[in-house]
Amino acid sequence: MSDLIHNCIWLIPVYPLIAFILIVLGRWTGIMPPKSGKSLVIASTFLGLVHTLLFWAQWGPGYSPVEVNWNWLQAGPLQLPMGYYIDSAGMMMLLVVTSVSMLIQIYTHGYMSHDPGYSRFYAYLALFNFSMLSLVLSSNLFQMYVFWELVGVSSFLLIGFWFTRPSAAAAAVKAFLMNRIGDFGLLVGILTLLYFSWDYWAGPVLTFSHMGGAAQVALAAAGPMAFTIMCLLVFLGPVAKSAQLPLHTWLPDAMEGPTPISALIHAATMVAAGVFLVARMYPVFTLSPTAMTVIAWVGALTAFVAATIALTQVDIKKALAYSTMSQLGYMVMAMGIGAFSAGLFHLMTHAFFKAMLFLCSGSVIHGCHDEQDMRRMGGLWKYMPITAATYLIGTVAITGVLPFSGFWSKDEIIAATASYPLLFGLAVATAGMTAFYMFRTYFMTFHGKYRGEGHPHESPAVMWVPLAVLAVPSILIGAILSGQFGFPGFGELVYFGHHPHHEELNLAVMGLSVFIALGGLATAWLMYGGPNVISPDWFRKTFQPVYTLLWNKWFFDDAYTSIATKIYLPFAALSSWFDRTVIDGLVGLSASTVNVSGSAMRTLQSGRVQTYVALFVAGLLVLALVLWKWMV
Amino acid sequence: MFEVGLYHYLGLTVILFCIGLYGVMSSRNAIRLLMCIELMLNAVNINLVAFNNYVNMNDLSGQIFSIFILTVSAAEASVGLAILIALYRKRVSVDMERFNLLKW
Repeated sequence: MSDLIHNCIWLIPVYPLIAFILIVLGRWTGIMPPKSGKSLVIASTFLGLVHTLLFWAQWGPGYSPVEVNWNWLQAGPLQLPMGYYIDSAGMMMLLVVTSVSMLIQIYTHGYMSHDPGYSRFYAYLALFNFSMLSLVLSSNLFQMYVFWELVGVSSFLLIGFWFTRPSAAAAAVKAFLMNRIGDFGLLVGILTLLYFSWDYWAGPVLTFSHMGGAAQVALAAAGPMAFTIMCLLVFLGPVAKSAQLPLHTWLPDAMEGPTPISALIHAATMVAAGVFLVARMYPVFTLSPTAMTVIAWVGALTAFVAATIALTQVDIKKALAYSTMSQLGYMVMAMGIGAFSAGLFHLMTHAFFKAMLFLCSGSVIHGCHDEQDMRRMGGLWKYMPITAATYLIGTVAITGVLPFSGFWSKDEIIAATASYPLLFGLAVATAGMTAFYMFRTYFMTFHGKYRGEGHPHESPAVMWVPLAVLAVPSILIGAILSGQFGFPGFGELVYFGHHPHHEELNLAVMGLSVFIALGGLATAWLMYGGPNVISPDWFRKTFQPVYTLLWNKWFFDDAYTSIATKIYLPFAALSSWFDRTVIDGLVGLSASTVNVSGSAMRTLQSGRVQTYVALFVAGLLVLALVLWKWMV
Repeated sequence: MFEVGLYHYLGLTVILFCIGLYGVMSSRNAIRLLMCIELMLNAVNINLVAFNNYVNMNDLSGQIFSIFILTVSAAEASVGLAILIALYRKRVSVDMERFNLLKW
């Protein structure tokens, strides 16, 4: 049995794949009734979770990585493997993905119960689960790239789930295009890495377990300049996938998808794949200080910019989307300053509380009859107490108030930035803004008077039970893994390099971040809470230019639109004209040349046999003359 | 004493062949055209026999060859005549000028 568990780790992603295939076949052949598939998918995820836990239980001390490679493709000396590689970081991801997605799949049953695409939705969920789990288990960069693209496809399908809505279709295409840019960079980066580290590999190439040696060889072969460029190309993948500046614009639009998807893919798991990739590639990135600096700054700026945009959002899901972006910025920044385990710790805590926050927002939207605008909410505490309570827990967790989970992980990141004053400043400012905008959404949604129409109601148990379950890790997981209460800390379980490290508490940073968080909370309360001491309108009028900037999301979308319409479209029109006139013209010219010369030449063929004979004889004579004159 | 040698035979066959070729190219009557083809074939036959005598008297391969050619050309002529009759039935003419359908 234990051998079975140990040797069949590859089954973990296969369970959801089987569920996916069964649903597709079942619905296609009509064997399965229209609203089915739920049990299959949830069971497949549950099996994956149980398998992961069983494997974890008998993994043994030290948690030494488990790796198996099969030969997937052999082309001359190139040997592309397919296999699995589990280390502590991978195990953490497996646990997060299986547990969060199982809860979300249960929740989906309530949220999507009236949707005609019920089965299709579950099929996509299973497909996503398969891709994401395979990505996490990938033993090498190529395999990861394959599943990286597959999660992109799932994301595309699910953003455009309601494809009859033009906005959803556009958002899906936008996500796909933005990710294409990043994936292109990633692919070029992977190939460059393979090229430079070619001499290193004997046997399976680009395996994560041998990335350290390969990175050394690649650095020696490429020189620091090319190596840095290669690192940045690889990093372009995570930039798009994890919605970092400047390829972030797809994530807020991705909220067009159903809310469970926003929770699962665009908050908890898929967008974290970028961070996970950076963590997997840490031996490569750490060799290029420039690349690390760029990564840190991209993360910090993303965290800051996203937080500022979130300040003005009135759509509850968009506000949460920018908050996700901001938190991903934290994680990427942590990667950039070398605090890999702090970044992954935040990834883990964030996955739980952000999934919960999104599910809460889904519950609110569901209860308010598909209303997403927070200006038409308010006072929902009375109507949906469980949702409100869990949302409050999530808000406190993300804000970073002691002792909720977000505090511990975010604090580790902020403490790690302590030696970089500018990054530290950005991180702390972002933390303050996070507290403000999260409590702003909370107060706007759940406090005050109800400003909408109709009668909001609490969601059914199938929806609030997952919320309640997610609340537990949102409160506790940070403290448990902080290393302060007898359990091993996250940094001792998941570490990069040779030694597990014990996180020392940085009391000054802790105090500062709690103070900042409470400051943000207080400001939000003064503006949107009970007393309404500071009017939001006054703010808007006083800081008009800033407000305009933030309301328009720093004009990123407008800039991209004008780049697309002013530069790209005219260029495309020019290319199209060139293609039609010059290229097609040349092709047409050659065709018509043949045509014209053909019709001229065919008059030679009179149909009279005697003419042919005469011409033949004439030709023969000429040939004979030539042979006689020049050959003899 | 005047001796008939290879060159005389060759001269004869060249003349015969050229007359045949000229006939093929110029005659408007299809029957005459067929006859001219026969003329060319016979020129070749004479050629073969003459060369055989010149190269090796004891070996009759040239003569055998010319008999083969005679046989084949007889078959060919009969086929040609059959085609000609079919054409004549259709066109009521043996004028080569009018047989010009073999083109684009």
